[in-house]
Amino acid sequence: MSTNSETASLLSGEARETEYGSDNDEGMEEQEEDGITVSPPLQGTREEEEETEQKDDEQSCGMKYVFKKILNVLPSFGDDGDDPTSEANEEALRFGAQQMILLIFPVFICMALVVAIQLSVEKNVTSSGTLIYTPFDEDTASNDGFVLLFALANVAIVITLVVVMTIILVCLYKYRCYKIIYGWLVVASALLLFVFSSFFFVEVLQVHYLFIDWPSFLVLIWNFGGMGVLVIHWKGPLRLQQAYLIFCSALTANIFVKYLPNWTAWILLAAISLYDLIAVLCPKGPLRVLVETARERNETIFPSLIYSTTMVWLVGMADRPTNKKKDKKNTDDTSGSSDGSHEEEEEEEGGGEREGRRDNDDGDDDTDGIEMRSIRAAADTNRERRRERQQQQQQEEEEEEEEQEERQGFKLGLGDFIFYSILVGKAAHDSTGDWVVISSCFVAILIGLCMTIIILGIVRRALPALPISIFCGLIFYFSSQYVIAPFAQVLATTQTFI
Amino acid sequence: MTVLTAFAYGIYTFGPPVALFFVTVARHPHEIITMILGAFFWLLALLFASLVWIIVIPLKDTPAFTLPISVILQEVFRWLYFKLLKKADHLLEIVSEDKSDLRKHKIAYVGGLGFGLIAGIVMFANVLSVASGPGTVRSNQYFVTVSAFSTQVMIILHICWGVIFFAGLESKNWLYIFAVPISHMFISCLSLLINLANTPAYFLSFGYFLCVVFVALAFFAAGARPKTLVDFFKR
Repeated sequence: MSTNSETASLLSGEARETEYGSDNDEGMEEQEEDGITVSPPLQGTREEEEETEQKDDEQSCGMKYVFKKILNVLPSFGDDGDDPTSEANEEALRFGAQQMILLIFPVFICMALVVAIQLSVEKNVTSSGTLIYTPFDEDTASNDGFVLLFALANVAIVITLVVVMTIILVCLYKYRCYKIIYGWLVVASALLLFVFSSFFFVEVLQVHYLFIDWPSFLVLIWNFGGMGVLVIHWKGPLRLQQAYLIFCSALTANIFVKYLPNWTAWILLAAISLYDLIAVLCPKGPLRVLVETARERNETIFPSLIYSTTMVWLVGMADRPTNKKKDKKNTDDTSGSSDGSHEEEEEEEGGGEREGRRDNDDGDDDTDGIEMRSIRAAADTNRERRRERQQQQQQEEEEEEEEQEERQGFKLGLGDFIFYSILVGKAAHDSTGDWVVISSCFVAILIGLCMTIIILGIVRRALPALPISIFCGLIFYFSSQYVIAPFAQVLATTQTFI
Repeated sequence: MTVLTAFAYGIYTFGPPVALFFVTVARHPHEIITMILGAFFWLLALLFASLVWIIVIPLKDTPAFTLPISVILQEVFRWLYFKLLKKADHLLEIVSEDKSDLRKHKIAYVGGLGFGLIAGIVMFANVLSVASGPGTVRSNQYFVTVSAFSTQVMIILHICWGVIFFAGLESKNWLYIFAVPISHMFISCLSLLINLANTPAYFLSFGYFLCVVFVALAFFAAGARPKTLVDFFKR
């Protein structure tokens, strides 16, 4: 029991480090920004797991059918007639919907935080200077052509930096230099939590005309940052860790909104999502290499190895383990009843296996084949483990489930959080707090996220989370800023209610 | 003082829908997604309406020309939204774990709430943020009050319209189907009078009257009968 729990906690601790990774890096040097969402394997039920092979085959057929169904229904609005969806598939869909919310909720919080900072603090602070990564100051450009040129040059520098950093990271990971990676992450997160957060808090105090003596301030910052580093890289209450992660993302996004030149920021958003697309989907894209290396090593279970740049165990998935008790207390938790989540926990067990089967049937390419085998192996061991476990103590079981679950669920890079928040924060900043613009950007990004997750459910492989959302957001930002907002202005002043 | 007033207006206008959201929607993931989708569809309708408004330059100062187009577009997008949900219906059924007859009405209500909330935000949030500011001079001291009340009317109506329209399309009940766009057009055109006749009396009185009528209509459209209400309170 004790060893088990130790491993589990160690695992989760490492998971956190991983998570953190993305955002520090971005904070400091903005190395990696690509978020990846990774699909959870479909869930099977515990009973199914123990049923015969034949049954499993039937299941996989049923599942294939459902996937065809989803393909038909969602994008092309195919007809929905008879529908022999099995229990397990229904569970999978339910689980997917729940996961979607568990992603949407923190993204919403993070974006709201950045908007709040922009509207309350940054509005009242005149900031000057730029990041060293964007040496060309648009304000000094003599005409629009030069503004564009400067912006493009800045973006090129930033993207190059991102690419180089990501490649370094992938190489480090590939050659198993985990110590270096962790060291890098710890330093970066400490820097963010101590230095940048103290700048931010000083600003907040100034804006509100509050006074505090330096000793107390330093003690508070020391405690705040120290706790953050501990919680993120080692262990601590889950909610606290989530709060720190979101705060870090928001802080980083805020820095970018504040210091990036105007057009550089917009072009950077578009460029980064294109880069994300390439990095995740191209056969040799750095992030894809990273994800696949992790899978080949069958390290998804050990989040520390997933260190994968920006792939983060998002709040959502970390949410479930051990939290049954918490959930009951937490009435405002968006995830339904505690019974529901418990069921899902059971469901998740069979997941890997079934995905393996499906891949097998579809005859995917080599890498997926590898993945399939490893997943299958994992599933087999799971099964054995499960049997043993049933004879063991309840508590131990929970520990292992915790471990299991860390492998499941959607993951969203903190990089995605940051860039979504940059878009919304920039929208709030540029429109000087026009709620029409802000709310339409919110809706567009959340819809983009939903669409990404739905596509994820269909293709079942790592996907870049930025492109759809960011382009949706960009379209809605510019259309609302220049088309909808003036119209809404007229409607509001003439008190016309459409 | 201004901040307090703004809070009062904000709570008055957005209190009911936000309370509805937290009481009914917030616990169901699929309903939250449906609601965001509803908001997205309403924004699309508004986007097209504002494009019309931008293109027709001579009529930029008055919304009277764009208003009917906007209402028609909203109803078209409500219909498209219905179509989309219809296609995804069996997925929603699976996800919601709800086999009762009420499920479709719930989805309709959630969609209506999405429409209403985003409409309320677009129409009133900026007025509110200005009202909370250091101070503004208005020729009409009741400007913000009227906006707050009217927006609340529109939000409540949007929720009812969602339920009624979907129920009508589902059961091919033409009364329900036509009641929605006609009443929408009527109430929106009536809102022109607030500015033109310089009195909100017509709009507000008719608006709240319509609210009562449409809440009752939505009640029946969702398949409820007076007995349901009695049963509910007896329980």
